[in-house]
Amino acid sequence: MTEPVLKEKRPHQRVVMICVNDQSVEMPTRRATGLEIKQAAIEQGVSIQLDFVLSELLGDSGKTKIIGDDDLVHLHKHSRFVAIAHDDNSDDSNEIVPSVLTAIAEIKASFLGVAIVHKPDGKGGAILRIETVALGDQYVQKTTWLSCHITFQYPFADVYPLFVRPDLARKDGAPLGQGISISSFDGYPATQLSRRSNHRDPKVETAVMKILKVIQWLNEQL
Amino acid sequence: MNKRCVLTLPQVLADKLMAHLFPGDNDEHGAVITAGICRTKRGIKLITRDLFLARDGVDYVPGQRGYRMLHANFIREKIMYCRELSLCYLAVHNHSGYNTVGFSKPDLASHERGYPALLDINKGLPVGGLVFAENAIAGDIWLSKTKRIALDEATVVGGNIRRLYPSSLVLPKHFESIEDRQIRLYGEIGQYLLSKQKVGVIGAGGVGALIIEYLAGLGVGEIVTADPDRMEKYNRRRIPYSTVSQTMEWLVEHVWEKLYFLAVPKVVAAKRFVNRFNCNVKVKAVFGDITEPRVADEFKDCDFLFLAADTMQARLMFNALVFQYGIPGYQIGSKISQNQQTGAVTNIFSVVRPVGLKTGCLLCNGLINPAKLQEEALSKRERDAQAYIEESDTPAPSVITLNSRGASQAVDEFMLRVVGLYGDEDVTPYVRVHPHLRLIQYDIPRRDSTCPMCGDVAYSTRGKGDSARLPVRTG
Repeated sequence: MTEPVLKEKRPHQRVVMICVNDQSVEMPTRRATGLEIKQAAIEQGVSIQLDFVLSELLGDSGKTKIIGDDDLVHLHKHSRFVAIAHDDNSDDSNEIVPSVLTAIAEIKASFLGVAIVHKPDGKGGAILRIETVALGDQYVQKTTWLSCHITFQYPFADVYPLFVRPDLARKDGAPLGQGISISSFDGYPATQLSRRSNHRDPKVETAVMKILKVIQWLNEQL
Repeated sequence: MNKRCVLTLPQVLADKLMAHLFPGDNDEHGAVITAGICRTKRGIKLITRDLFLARDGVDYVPGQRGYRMLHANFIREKIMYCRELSLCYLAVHNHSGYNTVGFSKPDLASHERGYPALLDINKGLPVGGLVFAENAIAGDIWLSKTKRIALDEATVVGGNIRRLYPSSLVLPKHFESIEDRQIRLYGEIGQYLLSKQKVGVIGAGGVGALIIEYLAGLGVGEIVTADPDRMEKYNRRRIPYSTVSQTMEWLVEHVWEKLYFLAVPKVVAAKRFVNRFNCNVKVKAVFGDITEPRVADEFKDCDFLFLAADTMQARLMFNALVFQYGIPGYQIGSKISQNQQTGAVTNIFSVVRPVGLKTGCLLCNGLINPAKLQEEALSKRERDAQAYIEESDTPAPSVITLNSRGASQAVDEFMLRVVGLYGDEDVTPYVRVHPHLRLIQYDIPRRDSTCPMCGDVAYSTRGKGDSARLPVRTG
């Protein structure tokens, strides 16, 4: 005789399981924005990206409702979502303007041997990420990634702020200091380095020069 | 029907050219003008970028088939320069006489012999010839080997905006005007010149609305205005032609704020007003942001530009349009500064900044903040995430009387420049009026010859027209 399986009574919790693209996603709260749903799905392995369009499936009718990144959704265990990318037909939303491409090329030339990725921002600019930048001895971490947004009006527009890993910390436990704050960038947590140049000369201060100056500044924060 | 073809020539270059062509020896002299090209529905505009004077006896020598000729070495050097920078090549010489001018048979024969080859070298970009007399110009522009057009007029942009034609301007017989009191100031010719102006107004808010009103009253030919915003309650005390129904404020406030999309776009309100006020004035109302390519395109062939928007992106676009397309312009604004802590008013002024080749550009004068440009390129969500931005979204103080000071000064100057009643001075300083101090200040702007927008260096976009890229967004 087998003993009856006792159902374990789970404590009351707010976690809710939803479906995104037919894959289960655990949400920590019953209310979330479209962006938070996509972030959770990405973290849990669903093959989507933050700029995908999220829609909620309404019952079995086949009808859907588009959920914007800032729209708040009440979640329940039957909530089902689809997230899909736009089907681009050679429009120019992925185009990066020549001045930004030049900046990217200069950055890559200055960081030879370091992985650098970039993606279009949809307006002609690009979001760029340098995967490995050495940090000074005052920091717990030895390296960081560094990311920035080069907008379509570069070189007239400044390249700021810059972002590095979110867990950046000093060995002495002191605060990171002025101009360094916790933030997010491109949908991810990040440490923000606010170093803006109100009077920069677009002929002289290139994106790569700005990045190098900010790295130097960060490593000089003793 | 042939398209209209015009040439714009900055006063500084025109003065240099005239001194070279007409030194008082009654002889012929030569030069080369390089120009950007702007192709629009209205026709073709050639924008002078560089002037190369041909040295007598070296570059401009006794002719083999005519009286004088530009030497092939000089031509080769200049056509290669045009090819490199994607510019039009325009050979220049002069004839004696005044108020009327035309090409001679040897001139035209020389064009037919030489220009097909120059077109090939210049990768199909136009080449042509210009002939000047005192107060007159004629042009033979080759768009391709089979298509050539005559130059209709040249605009010399200085203090006064002077126009040169192949022969003296004669008022069309059908030209009638009801603007009797205005005509007493500048004559029928002045009114006719105003009626031929296509004027761009970037921004149709507090300042832009007044400028549009004044331009309609002056009787310009066409107003192009762009603004991405709709009428709202708080515009009503600064836009004289606004109405409650345009703002939909009852619906927005009492039913649902998202019904704001039913409010009338500012540019549409402006167009409706002008249609009532002066139906002879055409209005092109462009609902959108100036950084959108379709919006920016509408301003390329304007004869004059007013910037009445307060974003850095609009400033950059205006600056680029002014220099890349050779359009004289004014930036107008007013500012009320307050102490952040106490809220006390610390400064009040309205400002009018003429922008042109001699005054330098807004970039040279530190009036385009690169950090602000970066911020404005971000979405609201991105700006909120990057919470470092100190300035809140709270609208800045704005008062109609301050706006009207700047607007009327700028439109006054435009009117006087077009009808030829402006002073001889080309350099016009920025005018800053502080009404609380009864003080008018004049700021002399600076020009950086290495500026990427207005400079003389090869990489600057000045005068390059369609061959350079405007700082517009792509998506």
